[in-house]
Amino acid sequence: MCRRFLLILTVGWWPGYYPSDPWWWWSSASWNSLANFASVPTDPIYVDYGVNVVYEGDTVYVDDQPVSAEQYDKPMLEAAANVEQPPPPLPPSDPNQPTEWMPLGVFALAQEDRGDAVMFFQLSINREGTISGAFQSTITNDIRPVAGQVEKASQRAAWRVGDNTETIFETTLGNLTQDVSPIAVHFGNSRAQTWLLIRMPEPAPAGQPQKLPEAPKSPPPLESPKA
Amino acid sequence: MVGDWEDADKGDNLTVRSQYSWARGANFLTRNVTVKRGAETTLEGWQIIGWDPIESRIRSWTFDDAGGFSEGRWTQEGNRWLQRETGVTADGSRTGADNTFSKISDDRFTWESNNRILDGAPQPSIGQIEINRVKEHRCHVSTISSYPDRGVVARLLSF
Repeated sequence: MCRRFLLILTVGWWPGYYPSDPWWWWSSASWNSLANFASVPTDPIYVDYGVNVVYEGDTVYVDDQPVSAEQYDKPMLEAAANVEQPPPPLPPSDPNQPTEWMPLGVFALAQEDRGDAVMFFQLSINREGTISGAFQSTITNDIRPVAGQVEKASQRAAWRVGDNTETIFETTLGNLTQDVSPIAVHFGNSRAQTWLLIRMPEPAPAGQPQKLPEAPKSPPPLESPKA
Repeated sequence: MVGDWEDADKGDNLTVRSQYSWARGANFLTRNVTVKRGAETTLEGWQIIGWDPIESRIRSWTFDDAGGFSEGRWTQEGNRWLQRETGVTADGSRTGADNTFSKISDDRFTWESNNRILDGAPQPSIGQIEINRVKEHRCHVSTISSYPDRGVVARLLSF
């Protein structure tokens, strides 16, 4: 299984699938296309962890209103920990067929002002809201599959890496359409740290300059998902 | 860095004490580190820091009493040193971290650890911890003067 995910992140090409587009997994999703694909009818919800969703011990402040962390997070964390490992997200073998998975892109997982990014996600979603993809650490060369779930009503998305059910990554679908967005990383049931997801541009063809996304000029309007 | 250093944060009842000294010839720094919870020693480790003339950089090799070991490559940025460390635990899990040492004065520096990974899973970052020289053990500094022609490590890690 890991070998197959390795191909996604390092080769970007899957034998027999979309040979004309080796960078399919790098594609980003606009909110409208994602909402239509995953049948999420509402406007996008963007969260800035540490601003409108703040973790303090056993309490989460959602728009300054205290909620117990267990009440707010437990269902999401359990769903991400227990979801069955989905298959690798592949483009359809026939481009005329509807796609089972929509790629959300390749993201660096980093912290602000904490050096070079060394951890990366490829994330994709299917119509049921299941998240699949891969995680890679370039320090240790670890490759792990990703498994997760989106709660469509709140648009909260949470996933785990491999078999590790202690560390859960949480953000919103709206955040996953952005080039840079905060993400809550839950370590066990009691510790959450705010990290960043930074979209990685599709690698440039050999000999051509890398095309970098424009830096966002203003943050998206914040709205907090309810428990 | 030669001398005794201690973590200033006593809130968690953990004490991390490091003793840096020169190995014979002053080409390698050796570090003994002891982690205590209260009076009980919970971890002991050993580190050797030296200059790699091929890579032209400082490198380090660390071993702990639980059977894990790691190696680090050091990069300087002003008063800060970044140590990128990779290793294994006794059970065969791969580890990785970016550790930053920031010199505040001759007797004080901060340490923080980010991009931590264990067995393929990101780990919580450790925020800045202040490390202070233990004054009563400053006698270790005198050992430097035993080596008038100190090596690259001594010139670079001058705290």
